[in-house]
Amino acid sequence: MRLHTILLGACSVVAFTGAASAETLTIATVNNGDMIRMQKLTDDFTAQHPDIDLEWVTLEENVLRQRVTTDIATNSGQYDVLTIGNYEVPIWAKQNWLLAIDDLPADYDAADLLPAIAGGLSVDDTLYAAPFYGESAMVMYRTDLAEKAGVSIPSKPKWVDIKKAAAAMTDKDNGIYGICLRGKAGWGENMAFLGAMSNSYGARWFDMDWKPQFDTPEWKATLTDYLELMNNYGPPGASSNGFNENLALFQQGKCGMWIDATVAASFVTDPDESKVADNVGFALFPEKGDIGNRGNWLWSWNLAIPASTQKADAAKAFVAWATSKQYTDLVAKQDGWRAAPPGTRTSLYKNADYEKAAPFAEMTLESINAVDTKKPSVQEIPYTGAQFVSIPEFQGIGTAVGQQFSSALAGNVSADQALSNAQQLTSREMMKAGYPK
Amino acid sequence: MEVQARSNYFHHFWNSVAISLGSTVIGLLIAVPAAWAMAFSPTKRTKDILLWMLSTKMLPAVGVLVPIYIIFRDLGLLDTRIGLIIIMMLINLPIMVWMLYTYFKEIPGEILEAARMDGATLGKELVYVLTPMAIPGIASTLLLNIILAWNEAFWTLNLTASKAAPLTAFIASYSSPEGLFYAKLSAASTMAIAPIVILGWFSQKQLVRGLTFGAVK
Repeated sequence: MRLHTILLGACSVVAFTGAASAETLTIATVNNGDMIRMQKLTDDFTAQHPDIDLEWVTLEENVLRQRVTTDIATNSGQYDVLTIGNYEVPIWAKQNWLLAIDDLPADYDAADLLPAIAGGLSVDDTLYAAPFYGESAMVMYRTDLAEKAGVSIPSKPKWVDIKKAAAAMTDKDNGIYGICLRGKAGWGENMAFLGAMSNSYGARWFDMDWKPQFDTPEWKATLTDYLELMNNYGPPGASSNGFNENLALFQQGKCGMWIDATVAASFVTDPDESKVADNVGFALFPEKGDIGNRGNWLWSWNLAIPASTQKADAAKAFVAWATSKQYTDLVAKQDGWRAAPPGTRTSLYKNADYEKAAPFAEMTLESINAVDTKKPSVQEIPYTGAQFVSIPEFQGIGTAVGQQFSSALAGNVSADQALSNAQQLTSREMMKAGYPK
Repeated sequence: MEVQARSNYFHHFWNSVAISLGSTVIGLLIAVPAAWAMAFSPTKRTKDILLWMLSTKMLPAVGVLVPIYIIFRDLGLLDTRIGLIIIMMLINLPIMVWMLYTYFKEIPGEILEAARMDGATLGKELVYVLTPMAIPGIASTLLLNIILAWNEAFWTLNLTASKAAPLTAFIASYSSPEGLFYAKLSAASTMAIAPIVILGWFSQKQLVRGLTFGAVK
């Protein structure tokens, strides 16, 4: 009888301890405005789930990528929720590094996710990450400068329209440059833009035998036109300009046009940050002639759950909360509709309050919906992707090619030499990686 | 204020203090006897060992990231202060031994011999004779290694998540490729380097004395 009582007591203590100790989720995330806002709003989540504590690891994108890749590849399980891009999701899902995001609560409404975004996060029709925010690319231009120069930019422009407008708006004596584009080397910097531009020019990275295609007329036309635009109408020192540098230039009124990620629209129209907030117009990513491809730029930051986590249920609860419609409502209530994470849900773009608060909403949605990640180029290709190629080798190759093109922009090598170097280095890397597979 | 509201500065600060001090003190406990042996009882292999120790600094850190990460995972040392103290101590040990070896070589061996004649044991010789004479050298080695450990960003970012993350992780959390956060980044950087700058300011006399010790014969 006494032993029985002791055992019962011990069981009770164990059960009580288990119930009292909260489960701690470690969340790795990037440092951007939307993610920091999520971090601030997590009291709402912990109020709903008092048994779950949250610990945040916030890092710059490249550091985070290196950090979580090491962790997930070695199955170390330091993180329970990861913030990763749509480049990594299909690659990691195929390696069985991620848990499927399949049994979400009924009110999550996965059918509401934008098809282009959900498609980029799915493998065999199974979702492996939940999108937190998404972006495509579009033209942002100064309506006042365009009017003064006597040019109009159509809502669905072609590259000839862009060239004409850039020439008309350039006024170098007064520090106004017709166009600002990324020039800083990197697969996520100048190659994000040039990858999308090449798609719109009908180029492709590889043919069906995985042979690089930098020796084709499409790539030559892409790079030649890019260099011509930037050398004639771009700002000085453009080879070191990335997203942030161009954002600063545009906000200070130095750029007539800027073609970049749709997420920039909220920054350039923010009167607290931008001197030109009231004079910004938007247009779709340009296309070349009748090719019928508007770049296929698509990026999303997503919440994924590594297969190594020991807390899958709690992690799923968090992912469902952070990417739900209720979270969007919470953000709108706290910081206004303009701050709602864009580019993931159809319902957001049917919301009249959001449409009113974000003048760029319609163009953002149209840009995202125009993307086809299964066929980013009009030519036959052996890969999926967008402004990138969804293979693990792309990070290294993209950055090395980006260095060649950045060097051409700086005037150190000719366009032909840069393309020839890109062809050689990509061929070498693909051969080393064992392609064709 | 915004920086403090978003991150727990003091959590990162105490991690930095524990890691830099811990690794330096443990490193000195190993480096002083090692440098003593090499300076006063050299063998024909001493030079080779010194060169080998230095050669470990020639390998890019990223080259050994995955093996060390896996070892740390298996030993349960990921995201722990003790794990970072060990790795910081190991990566700075060659520099500590080299610096101390250089200082010890400047001390005449006859003084140690005299101590031995007076009956000093090895331990007493180290503690009561060698150490007081080498204080400037030991102090500058200590300060330099605290600074190196404080500012080290590769291992501290890769081997930690949240619990043991020092101030380098605190700064890294304010860098962003999309969005301009220069003011917050600058504030975070200033807060991160302030303690080590203040330490360097107060100890510059010892540091300069130690670094120039034996420079002029």
